[in-house]
Amino acid sequence: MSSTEENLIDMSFLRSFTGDNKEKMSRYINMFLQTAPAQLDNIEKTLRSGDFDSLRVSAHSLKPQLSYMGIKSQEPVVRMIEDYAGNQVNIDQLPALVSNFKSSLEAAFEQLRAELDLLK
Amino acid sequence: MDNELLIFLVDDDPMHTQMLKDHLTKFSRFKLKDFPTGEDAMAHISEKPDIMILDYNLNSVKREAKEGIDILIDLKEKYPNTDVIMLSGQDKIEIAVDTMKYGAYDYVIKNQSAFLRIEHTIFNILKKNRLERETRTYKTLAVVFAILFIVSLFGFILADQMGWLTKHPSAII
Repeated sequence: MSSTEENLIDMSFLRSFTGDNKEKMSRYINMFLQTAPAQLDNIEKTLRSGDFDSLRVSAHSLKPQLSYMGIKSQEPVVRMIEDYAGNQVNIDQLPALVSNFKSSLEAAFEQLRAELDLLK
Repeated sequence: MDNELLIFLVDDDPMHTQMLKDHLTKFSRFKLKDFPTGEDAMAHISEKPDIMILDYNLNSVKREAKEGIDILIDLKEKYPNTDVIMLSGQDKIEIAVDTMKYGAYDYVIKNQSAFLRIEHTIFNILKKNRLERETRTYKTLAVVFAILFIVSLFGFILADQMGWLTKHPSAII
């Protein structure tokens, strides 16, 4: 990560939860990296198709995982996506919200991959 | 084993399930079984789990899967003795109230403090069950003593009417 790049992840919860066990931390990060990109794709796909209930479900299921990975800045964003989709309000704001969310999350994925390298 | 506690973990989020399993396996008396859907868990319900930790939203992977609240209603109808801890990423009070109305013991929000809260809730359930058992035992003992007292009283009255007590006054002592 370059010095100008924003730090999107905070490993303090995972470190404390695993008792600083690198193997366990890697396992959880790997599990997140295996499932979250597909969930993110699903958020985009359901937004495009206008399936707001599925969009709400996908956003909802990502929410706890963001908390465990310490991606704190995106927690209120995913909550907003879930609320807007669930209540079908501010639909016009959803494309920009999802697009920003996607960019931030993809950057967080990169930072988590770098964290995995450090844990090796 | 008497002290073993069978806990069903029902969640379609494999990461959360794995983390919860890792957190709870430090308690050797907990026997954990995990299921990705409520239907899968209900197919094994004859194993009579003591506790079910049930996610509120169970259809993020299988869209046709039943929601946690429907599984809760179904479970409480058939096995009211299984205590249910409901999980959700939603911190909405109406969802919590709804789950309690249908018989959940507690409602835990899925966040960083969820694992400790679930652990505490399990121990609260164990405490509640122990108190219920003790209350049942005391009630049984009270009934037994009441019966013994009534039988003794009748015996005493009968012995008195038959004049047995005046013939053998030392028997009263």
